[in-house]
Amino acid sequence: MKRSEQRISRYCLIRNRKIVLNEKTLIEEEPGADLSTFLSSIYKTFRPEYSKFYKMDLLSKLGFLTADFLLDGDHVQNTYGANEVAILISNSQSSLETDNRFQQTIADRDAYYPNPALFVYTLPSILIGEISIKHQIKGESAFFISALPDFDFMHQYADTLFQTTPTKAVITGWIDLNINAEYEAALFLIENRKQMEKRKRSWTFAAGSFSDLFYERNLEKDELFHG
Amino acid sequence: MKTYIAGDNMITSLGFSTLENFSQMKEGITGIKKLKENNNRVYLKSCVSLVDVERLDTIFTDFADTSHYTLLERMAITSVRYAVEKTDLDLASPKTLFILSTTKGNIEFIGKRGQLNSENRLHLWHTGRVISSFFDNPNQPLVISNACISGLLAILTGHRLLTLGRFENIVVIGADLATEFVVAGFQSLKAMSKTICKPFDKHRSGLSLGEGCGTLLLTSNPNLAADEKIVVRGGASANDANHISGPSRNGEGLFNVIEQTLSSTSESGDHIDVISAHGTATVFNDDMESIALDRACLNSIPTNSLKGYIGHTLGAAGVLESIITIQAMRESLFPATKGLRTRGTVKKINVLKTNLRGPLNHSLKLAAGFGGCNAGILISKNETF
Repeated sequence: MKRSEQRISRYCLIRNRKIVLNEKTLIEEEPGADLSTFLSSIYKTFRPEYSKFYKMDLLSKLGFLTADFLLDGDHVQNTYGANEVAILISNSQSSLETDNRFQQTIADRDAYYPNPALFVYTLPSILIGEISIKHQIKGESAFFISALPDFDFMHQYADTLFQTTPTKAVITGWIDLNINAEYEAALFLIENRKQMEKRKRSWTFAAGSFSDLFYERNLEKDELFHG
Repeated sequence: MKTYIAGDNMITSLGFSTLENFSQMKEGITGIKKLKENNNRVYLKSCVSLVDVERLDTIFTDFADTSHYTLLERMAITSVRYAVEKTDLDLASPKTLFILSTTKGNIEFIGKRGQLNSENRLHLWHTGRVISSFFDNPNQPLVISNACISGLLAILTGHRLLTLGRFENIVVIGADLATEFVVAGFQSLKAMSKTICKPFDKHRSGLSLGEGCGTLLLTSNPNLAADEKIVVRGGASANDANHISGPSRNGEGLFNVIEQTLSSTSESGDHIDVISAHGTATVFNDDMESIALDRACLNSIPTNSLKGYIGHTLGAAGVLESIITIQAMRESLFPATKGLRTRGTVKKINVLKTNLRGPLNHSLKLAAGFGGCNAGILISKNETF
């Protein structure tokens, strides 16, 4: 098989009150506090102040925070042109958590107060806008909906962008949140092996690696062959 | 490898086929109507373009049970059936992929239980499956929900997957409804016009919402191509990285889209015959587009917006408006901008007030949406490049 030019150079997971960055667990909290409180406290503790964060809906906060850990250190911003970075995100629940909250503002005709600030977030792709604004990313982007993470497609479409567009780095992953605020977030950075930061590890650009990293499976085999 | 058009259909307030829609547009007829309060579909007083549900169900009842499908699903299934009528394209083939573009799918079921298993019905991936499994397609459908550029992204994604030989046929479906949910939302943003929308007009005051479904059958198999051999050449998407609910002041993202669409297809801007703009008729969108077209030196190219005929159909818009543009190329007639009287954008562009007659070899279709997203595709006649 042809050796791919690209590698997964970084990834970040947020799930079960745990944040994992490149195999390292950064934070692990006891379940208890609601997701909103958890995300806000993580943000205050770990990330520089960014006033727009507090205006976002929960899905955007979750995805934004995942991206902020993933892109920490400005390597992407310093290495690539704004048009060379693509963002491909998918989930199963679209923006239903926010849709539900917006619906509550119009359900009762005697207490009818549709909130424009909330309505804007009834589109899942707003999350891509939030990440783009913060990190000044202006390349290709798309938001896909699938019942489960479709790692084959994630790989296939990122590869398609590398082959057919000016894209040199792809941020792809799964940012999902349901109406009960159960959540799952994972973002991967894929870039050309020659332009990666010098790091101990990177992972094969393949559907199997996304899946192994996402489900936190043992990755030693991967390292043996490609490390 | 080229991306040919094997068939198409559109269902809107103006009709149930591409030809029916196009002939109404040629005559300058709009499907947008001013609703009074307490309309049974949309609660609020507004100008919207609605599909004739009775007519749809008369057609649908002939081949399936209306009570098993939501309005959006009935519309999409009917549209796909019409689109494949004259082709041999095999919808059940593993080489055929369904792509559904929608912003809100069956959102009308939110907060309502029991009807048509509404909890699952709210999931857009489920809507995709209902449609593709109706036609016994074995692949997992791809669902794109990317604000108002969803439709163009669906065509672009389909084109890219065909180009790399991942599939042989793509069924691109764009569908959205003018539900109370979106009407209330756009009204709360004060984005809706009290009168029928006036794209690119000096006195424009907001958009009119619309609904509909467009089906565009893409194929890499030249034997399945419809007569005229019109092809999707390529395109691009780009983000403004500026504001989530307002377009960029300098048209950055849309300008990038135009540049990259031209460079990726090795086409020169001078060769573009017409531009089908997004043209929502909000002050900011139309100004932004004029700035982007001006920056790209396309300000003299005849340009239209179709929003004055069928309203802003959200996730369906890119598909519906591309189909009209394709029909315009077939008939060598590019429809005027319905609702436009006095041009009035920040930069002067050549927005059409009357239908343009003449051969159209290269057409640029553009879209922009919330979240700062922009997209464009280039459609050409096959023998011209």
